[in-house]
Amino acid sequence: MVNNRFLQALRRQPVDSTPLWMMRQAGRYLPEYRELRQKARDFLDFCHQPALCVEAMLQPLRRFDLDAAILFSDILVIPHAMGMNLAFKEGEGPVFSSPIRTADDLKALKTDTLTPHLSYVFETLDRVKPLLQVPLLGFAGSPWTLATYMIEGRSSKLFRSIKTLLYQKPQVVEELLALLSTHLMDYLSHQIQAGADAVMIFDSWGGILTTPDYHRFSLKPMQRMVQGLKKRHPHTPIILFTKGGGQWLEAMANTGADALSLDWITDLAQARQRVGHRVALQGNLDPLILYGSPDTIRSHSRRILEAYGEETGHIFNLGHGIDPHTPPENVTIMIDTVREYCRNKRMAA
Amino acid sequence: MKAGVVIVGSGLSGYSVAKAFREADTTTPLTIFSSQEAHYYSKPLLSTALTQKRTPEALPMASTADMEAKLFAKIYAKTTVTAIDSVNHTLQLDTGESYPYAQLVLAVGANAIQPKLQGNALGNVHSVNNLEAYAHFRDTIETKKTITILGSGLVGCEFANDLSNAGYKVSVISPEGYPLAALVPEPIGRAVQAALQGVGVQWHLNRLAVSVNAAEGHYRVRLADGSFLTPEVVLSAVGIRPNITLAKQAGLAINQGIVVNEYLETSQPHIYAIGDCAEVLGQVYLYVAPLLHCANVLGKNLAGGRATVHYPLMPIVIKTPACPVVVLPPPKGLSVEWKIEGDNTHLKALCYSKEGRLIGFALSGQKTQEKMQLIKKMTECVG
Repeated sequence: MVNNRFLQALRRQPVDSTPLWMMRQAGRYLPEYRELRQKARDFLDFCHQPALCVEAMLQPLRRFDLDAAILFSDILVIPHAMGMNLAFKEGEGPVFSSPIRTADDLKALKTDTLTPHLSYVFETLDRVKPLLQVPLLGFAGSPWTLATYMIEGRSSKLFRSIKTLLYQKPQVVEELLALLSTHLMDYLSHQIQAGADAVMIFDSWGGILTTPDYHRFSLKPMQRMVQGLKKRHPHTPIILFTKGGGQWLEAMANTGADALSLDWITDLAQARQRVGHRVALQGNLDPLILYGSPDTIRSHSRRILEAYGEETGHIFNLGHGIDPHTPPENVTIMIDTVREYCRNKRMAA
Repeated sequence: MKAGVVIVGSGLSGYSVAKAFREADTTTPLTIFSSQEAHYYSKPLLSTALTQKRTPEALPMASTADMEAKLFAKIYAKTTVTAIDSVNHTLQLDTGESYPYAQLVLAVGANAIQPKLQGNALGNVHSVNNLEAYAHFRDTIETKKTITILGSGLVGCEFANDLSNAGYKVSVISPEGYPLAALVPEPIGRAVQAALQGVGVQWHLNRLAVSVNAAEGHYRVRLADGSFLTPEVVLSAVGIRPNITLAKQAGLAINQGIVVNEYLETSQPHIYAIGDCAEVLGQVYLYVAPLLHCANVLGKNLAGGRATVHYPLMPIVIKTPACPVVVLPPPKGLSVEWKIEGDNTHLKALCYSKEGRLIGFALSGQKTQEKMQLIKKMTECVG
């Protein structure tokens, strides 16, 4: 590995320049990805083909000066491997044909080891690893986030199904979360064995919960994963990301994770003060700022670097995945701004 | 220069022929070419050397110089024969020179089969098919603890046992369902599996390794089911295949190996083949006993005799001290029936033909002591 900044920052070690990568950096905003995507029947079919996933991962690295590669996959491959029928429909996003609604539905899920059904993911990591000059990041969805998709059956705004189940039969939800956290821990452990240098847990929907329910249904299963992974892979950094979870950063830092990822709503300078030096921090740029003028992109990028300050342990990133219609050249403006800022800092010092 | 007998290869075959020839003829010039150091050693000792507490340097039974003196021979070490001119009876050497022969013996052995693997670290996978490769392997493992072996045949099992005895953490990946599957019936293979597990070997049977990549301080070996092993050293023992390169270029008849008749003559006059590279009467045997028998036959023939190959019963000894095995495989292609008795590691498996004749056996543990008795019984039957 030639460029190790990302891992250095995750370990809160000094770096020559703030490392930078983007959530969904491989994806639809890149014309070369849209072309590659044609080679597969649908998105799930694409995810099942390591050769295509490897190429998709390399595309943004060829175009931009990025400090990490992230596994190309989807968080929903796990429920799919557990036997749930999943389709990605044009304009609709992911749809499970038979969502989970009862304890009996739970019993129909595969409970034995899932990893043989996910070998294509590990093959992707194994194949891309020797081609990289930067660290390789693996990922999984959080148990709570996967549970919302599995119970809602699709993306949702109100989360009526899962909240109804949560407030009527919390033990059913907890049973599902326990099953998921076991599978997900094993899944991430296999990703690490397959070559991932760090892993990230995406909790997209923890932010819809009340504070006590966040602790019970989102954070607790994630903490179980973090602790299990730390036992098996003590030196592999783990990043936690709860979208809309800004108010719970202290509790997230207490899980033993190495870094927290922030959405754009959370104030970075305050976050730094609140968690102290226990964890590195990542993220925070509103991805839609990349639709702004070059000057807007530059000033917001600098604002984030300034807000973080002089301390170690900062990773520049967006507060959420890059939007599919973002002009790629605006990404270049953002990256150039970060690099220039760090270069000036170094010269001044 | 008076052309004499020239042997290409200084392994057990080459030197055994040389010795047998010198017993019959002490005057004809004898020359041996070896692409490696031409020390006299026995390859089967490599897979038990750690248990015997022997270093690679201690394995040769005689140096090249000793062998020259003993055999009244000229031995060219580290000299590769690149081509045979069978019309003019000369060899081309990698030094650019040519060398005449009156009678030529190809004892060029077998090459390790390369495992079919993807990834960037295939070049770092060890295969131990000669003393130099073994010395390199021993050098590598000196500072290491974990070793993955590809293949569960004779060599894979012997190395698994030997390395475990020396304190290494050994795992074995094999597409076979049980160890030694090509040689012994399943209960005996299972006995070996259990015994080696008892000394610490981890088995990954019915599994295929698909790639090996270098990681920091270890290798990532990916299996077809998506799981990974992360050993510090990978040793391939997936088999060996007759070395036919030289013979092919010379236009000799080739099937699986270099085809020879019962006199060990190839399809070209004055050229013979023996050992792992040779297909004698339709059979390639990659073991010691057949080549020693052939060496005695060929030694006589090179001295003007007309001796023929008549193999005795030649059981194969598998040196896995945790569960020793002796096997006399039945002839291939026959429908056979195994009758197995004994318990745990101590098993006796007798192989009968359709007509009820004893045509092979496999013994494990203490039952290996019955080897001679069984051979006697079978010889009497045949006689």
